[in-house]
Amino acid sequence: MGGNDRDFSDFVTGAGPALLKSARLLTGDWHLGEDLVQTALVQVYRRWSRHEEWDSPLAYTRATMINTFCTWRRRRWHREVATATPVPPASPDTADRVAASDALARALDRLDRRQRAVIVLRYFDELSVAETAAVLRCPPGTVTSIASRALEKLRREATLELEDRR
Amino acid sequence: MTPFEDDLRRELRSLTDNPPPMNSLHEPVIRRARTARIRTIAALSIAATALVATAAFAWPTPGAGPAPIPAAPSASPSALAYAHQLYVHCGIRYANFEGRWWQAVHLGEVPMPGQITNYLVGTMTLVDADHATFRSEHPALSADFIPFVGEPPPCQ
Repeated sequence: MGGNDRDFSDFVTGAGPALLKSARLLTGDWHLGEDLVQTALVQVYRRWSRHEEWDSPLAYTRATMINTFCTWRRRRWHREVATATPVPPASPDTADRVAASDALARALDRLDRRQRAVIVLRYFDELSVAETAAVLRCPPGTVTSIASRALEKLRREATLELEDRR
Repeated sequence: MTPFEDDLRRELRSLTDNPPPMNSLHEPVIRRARTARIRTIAALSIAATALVATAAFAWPTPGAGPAPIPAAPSASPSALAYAHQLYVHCGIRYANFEGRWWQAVHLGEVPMPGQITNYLVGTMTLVDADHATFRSEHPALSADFIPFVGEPPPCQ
């Protein structure tokens, strides 16, 4: 393995788990998420010889992954996924919590790609509006607008889902 | 930050709390990248081959054209022999070749005059800009010519 490959492997070992979690939220499934991360990393690997010029390889990879997710033509990551994991039997408190989480996961799956990307970047990756705008290559105002609509939709759908269960 | 946004942040974390065991990422990534690169190179090679084949079919290449014009070409590269019929009605004296008149260096009579009427069949070679050579096999002869300015006189 050459030095370049070794650097890349070190980067993937360090950043892979965080990228995988973001990808799981984007795709709604761990294995689809892994596929998304791999696809993005393949593109990053091709340009890895210039990685020292990048401000942050993680930010570059995240932007590549989000762009791949938003533009992927096969749409394999945009199908609805019922639940990521089966709901286990639990105590009433735990059951409520699992139900809420499940309702949110379903609501998240119903967002369009850009809305989901904004939610993941803002509320999971903890990026600012400006950083999210840079990743999505759009004005900050657009991010705010997308986030607002996405939050409203999530709130409505998650609440409805929980009410249906009760 | 609204309570709903706090809840959302917490729920997103809980959705990713228990990732399943995954294989290492970098090995399949490097493998996929290399496979993709090989495919790209192969596709480019095929495209380049097709382009060259198309160009070779469409564009004439030197040497692929018809044979040299047999009779008195207006321009001919040196050292190429062109079929030529030398007018010898009154001997080997003048030739019209390459769009101009030439005069024999050594004026001479045609051998076997009884068998040849007006023209002797052979080849004319432009040795250089001021020197052409006529050769025939039957009868075997060679005659050198130099440029001649003006119209040759009629046979005497």
